[in-house]
Amino acid sequence: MHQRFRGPGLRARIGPFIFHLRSPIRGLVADFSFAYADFPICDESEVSDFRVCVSSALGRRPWRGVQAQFWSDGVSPLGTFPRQLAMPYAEWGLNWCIYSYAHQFLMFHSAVVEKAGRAALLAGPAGSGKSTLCVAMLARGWRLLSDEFALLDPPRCRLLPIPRPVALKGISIQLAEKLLPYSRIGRVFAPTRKGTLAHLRPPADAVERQAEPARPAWVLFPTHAENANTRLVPLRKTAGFLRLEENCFNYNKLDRTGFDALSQLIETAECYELPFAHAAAASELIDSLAERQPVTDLPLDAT
Amino acid sequence: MVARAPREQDRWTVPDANALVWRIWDDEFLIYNTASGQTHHLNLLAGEALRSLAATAASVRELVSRLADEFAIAEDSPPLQMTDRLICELDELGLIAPSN
Amino acid sequence: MQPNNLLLRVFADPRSVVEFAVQHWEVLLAQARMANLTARLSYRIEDAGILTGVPGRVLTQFVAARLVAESGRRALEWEVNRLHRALTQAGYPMLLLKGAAYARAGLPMARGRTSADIDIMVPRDRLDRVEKQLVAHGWEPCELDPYDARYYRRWSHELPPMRHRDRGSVLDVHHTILPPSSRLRPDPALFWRSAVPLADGSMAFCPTHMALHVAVHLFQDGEIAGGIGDLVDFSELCRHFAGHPDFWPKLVPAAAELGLTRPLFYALRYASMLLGASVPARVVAEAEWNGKPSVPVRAAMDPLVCRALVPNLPEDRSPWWQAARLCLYIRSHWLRMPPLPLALHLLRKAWARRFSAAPAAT
Repeated sequence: MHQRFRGPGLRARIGPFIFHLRSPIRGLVADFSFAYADFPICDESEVSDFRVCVSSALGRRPWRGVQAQFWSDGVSPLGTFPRQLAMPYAEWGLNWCIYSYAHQFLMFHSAVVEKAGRAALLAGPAGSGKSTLCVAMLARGWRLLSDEFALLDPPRCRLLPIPRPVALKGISIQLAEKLLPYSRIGRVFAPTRKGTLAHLRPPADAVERQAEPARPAWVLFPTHAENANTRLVPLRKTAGFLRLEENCFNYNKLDRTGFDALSQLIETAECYELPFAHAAAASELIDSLAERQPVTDLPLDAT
Repeated sequence: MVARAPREQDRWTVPDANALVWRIWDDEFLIYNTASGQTHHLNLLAGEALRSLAATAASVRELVSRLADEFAIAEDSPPLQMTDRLICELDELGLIAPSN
Repeated sequence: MQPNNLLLRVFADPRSVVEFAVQHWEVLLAQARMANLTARLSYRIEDAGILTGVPGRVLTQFVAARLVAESGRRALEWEVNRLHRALTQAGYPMLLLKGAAYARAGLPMARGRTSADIDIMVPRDRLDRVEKQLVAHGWEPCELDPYDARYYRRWSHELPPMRHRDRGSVLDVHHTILPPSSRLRPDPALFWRSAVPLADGSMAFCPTHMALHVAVHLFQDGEIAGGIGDLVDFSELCRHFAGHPDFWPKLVPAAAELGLTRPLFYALRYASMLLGASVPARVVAEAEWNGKPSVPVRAAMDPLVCRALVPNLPEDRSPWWQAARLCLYIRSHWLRMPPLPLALHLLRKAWARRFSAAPAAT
């Protein structure tokens, strides 16, 4: 993987996308190869969905240290950043590529986990605790579909996996080490003064099954607060629709298709707010939702 | 705000009823207008008012009368006193227009 | 001087994709994304009858780009609908410009086209009342610093942009197509005289004026760099109206009447050179006779324009690219304003840019 990355480029199949990645930056290549070790590499017979290059850049202020830049299809959306932070910025860059261009999907700012073919969306902005909750769900045996984007395929109302590394911030890093002792966590970065960041390598099983979609069954809006009373608060359908739309990247771009797909999702899923103080307790509540409802015999392809 | 309040003699209708896509859950309406690309959340009264105008044009007075029948309330009851304001808002949103 | 750029090559000759290997597609898609022309490219290929042969993942990218463009078009049409309510139906004549006009006139080139703002033209003597009418219907003048606001009112050919309070859309209200201070002063009355009514009661420029407007926008009013989309507009207008008996014969005379022969000369030259637009020899000769610049100017413009317009990816750009952009930026302001106010304006803009915040990460 290392050589391709630094040479002609690495083509990795990540979820439904093929990314064509290049970078001469050793640190990034090492971090990326570690986090994405299990992802299949493609040959050159298929056109990629995104062409990405992370290169060193001439900063305007050379005393700030060596800088780097993220390029995607001729555009540099993140400005320059310190080269030693290339991995977190590259991850943000890949996010940018997806929500900027992948409008064949209705995309939500949401983690997604799945059990027995039924998926729970953990939707919310940064800081709502969805990545932490995601880790707690993985510890309970749920499959990781995504920690950042829910990709809904509109015609069939199915969520497509994109099981990229889980971004852990601050104390979630220790929580992940505790709850998932066999997991692999990459280097710790300090991209902002606000705290630390590390990437959890996605479970091999999640990557192996990244072509397996799931039916949305629950839509949850977690909000983390130190003194919260952890509970599930049922939401009316219209409230669920409007709340999920607020967390949608491209609802306005998909016109009627977006309205119909979101309506169908809300029609078939139960919506809850989930204020929580501790991820373990919150994950237990979500598990109990799954146990409460027996799995129906509908095959995945039924509408 | 629009340039003027609705006149008594104005009759209002939905310009193209086929352009509206409806989803109704628990007495709340979500309406997608394919002409404007906007999604609207209406309560029961507003939703029924819009449905009524989509079926047949009406003046403010006529609409008040229809809604009073529909909900079995008096024409001068508080919810219906705001009907001309409702018409203004639906007009501003582009959901209805004068039919003349 | 046909530059070696895949996007331009495919626009000029869509059938060239038939022989593309994976690496060609990758470069083409990257160039198209950078120039924001993916959807238009897809229609160009479809119109040539070869869309079905395109690789699956390329099609997916085309579909996604088209979705965005269609959504933008629907929003544009709605804005025109609302402008009708606010202006036309209240008795204020309104001319639609550029994207809004192409869409309402149902031109094939409107497919896949994205516009950020809506542009309309109203008579200069109605400007104040139109502004008041728009405000009554929910549009608000954008917040500008006092310097920029004065700049607009004094030097410009348009009101400061207006944003709709609820929809967030941006509207540019023009009274002519070039700033009053500009070296070229086309008489707006000539545009109104030849304006064409559209089905819904709004109006648009006649075909020759549509083409001239794009030429002016690109080569007289704009910085040229990044304007490949405008050159595609010009090229597609010419292709669409080539069949009209009046279009080619009237193009140069209309430009002469309006004093716009120089931008027309450039538009025809570069559309032909970069996009393979086919222009009748007679029209080329007329345009040269009427609008050709001096030899030194032409010698300078060719390399500058080609560097600025050709949509090369950053790794393929010439080292002179930045310099070319700067020259053309200065040129665009030189054309808009007399020298002293220009110098002060540029100085002020450069100063403001220096102290603005650097782009933040996510």
